[in-house]
Amino acid sequence: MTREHLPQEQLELYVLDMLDGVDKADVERHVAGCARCASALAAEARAELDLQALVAGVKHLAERGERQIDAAPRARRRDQRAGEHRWSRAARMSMGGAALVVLVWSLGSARLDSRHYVPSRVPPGAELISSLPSSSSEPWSSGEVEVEEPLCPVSTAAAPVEPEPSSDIEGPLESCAEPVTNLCRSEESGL
Amino acid sequence: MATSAPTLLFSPDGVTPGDADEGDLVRAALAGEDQGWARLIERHSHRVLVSLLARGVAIERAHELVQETWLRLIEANRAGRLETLALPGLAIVQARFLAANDRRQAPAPERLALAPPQGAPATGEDLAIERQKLDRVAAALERCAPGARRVFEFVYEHPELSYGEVAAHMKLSSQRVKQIVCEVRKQLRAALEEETP
Repeated sequence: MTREHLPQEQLELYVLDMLDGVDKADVERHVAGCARCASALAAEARAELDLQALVAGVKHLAERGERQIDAAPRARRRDQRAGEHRWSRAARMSMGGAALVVLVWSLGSARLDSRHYVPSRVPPGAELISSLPSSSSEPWSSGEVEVEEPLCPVSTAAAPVEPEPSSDIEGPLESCAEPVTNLCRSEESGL
Repeated sequence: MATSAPTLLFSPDGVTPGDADEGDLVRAALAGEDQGWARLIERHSHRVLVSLLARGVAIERAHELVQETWLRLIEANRAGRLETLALPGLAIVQARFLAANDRRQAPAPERLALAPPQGAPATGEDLAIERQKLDRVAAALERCAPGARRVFEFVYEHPELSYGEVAAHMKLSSQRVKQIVCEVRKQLRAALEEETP
């Protein structure tokens, strides 16, 4: 056991904690005296941590996918509301247009027959036109179109596999008063 | 270690057995009960050890650091400095802190040798590669049999549970659970090692 290098399967089982006590002790004894196997074990441990992170990331993405599915009826309702909104705008446009035609017609007829012009007469549709909002503020008047809110872009980072510790816990060393989370960051940055 | 609390397997409020059992143990440990700490140490020590090995810590030293980690946490709890106990995260952070202390105290050439591998992706290319890995793992999981996938995901979502506890929950043998984990893991690693087309 100590002369030959350990097979990768054995290291994998060690990392996965699938070995019984005797086999586990054998691996540890060998790795303690074999730099190559120690390095292979470290690589195997890193691969396992990576895999844990990736599996957690896949789960994270799947959960977000479910949220998107849940959001579908909401989006349909929003579309419906937008449709109603667009219909009411179209109605207002046509009513405004009709009022404008009536106004032009009445002004034109008044100008054509200025001798019979009655100043107190309110042209038909004038109230309606004045009640309409300014055309320049409408998106349809400037050629803009209504668009949906952009969907959340797909995340590129995997969720961390290790849970973050509570930030209100004191630092582990007596010499350090930083919270554990800060210690983690400072340790990551190479203390 | 096998099946500790079968009564917790079917929790009426939908809490998974691992969560409920872990919660009880954490409460017991925070209350200062040695038995609670003993069970938590038994459950999480290996994961803490693996996190140190992944950082290139020698195995004997890694064992020592794991012991020291638990001692520090127990001392912190006795001193009233622990309000919550999120495991294994807190123990891993503590152990890595101790390993970083080792590096800091080592002479300069050794410090360089003990430097942990840089894992955080920095560039857009790294992020794209990570994303590709995620897609590959997701696709490989999709190809797995649903039952095998369910077992595999349960094992990875509940690191606090032993294979025996998972087996009891899934109504499988412990050996079968281990076999499934190894098979699925093999497929995932093969997918990750595939050449990019």
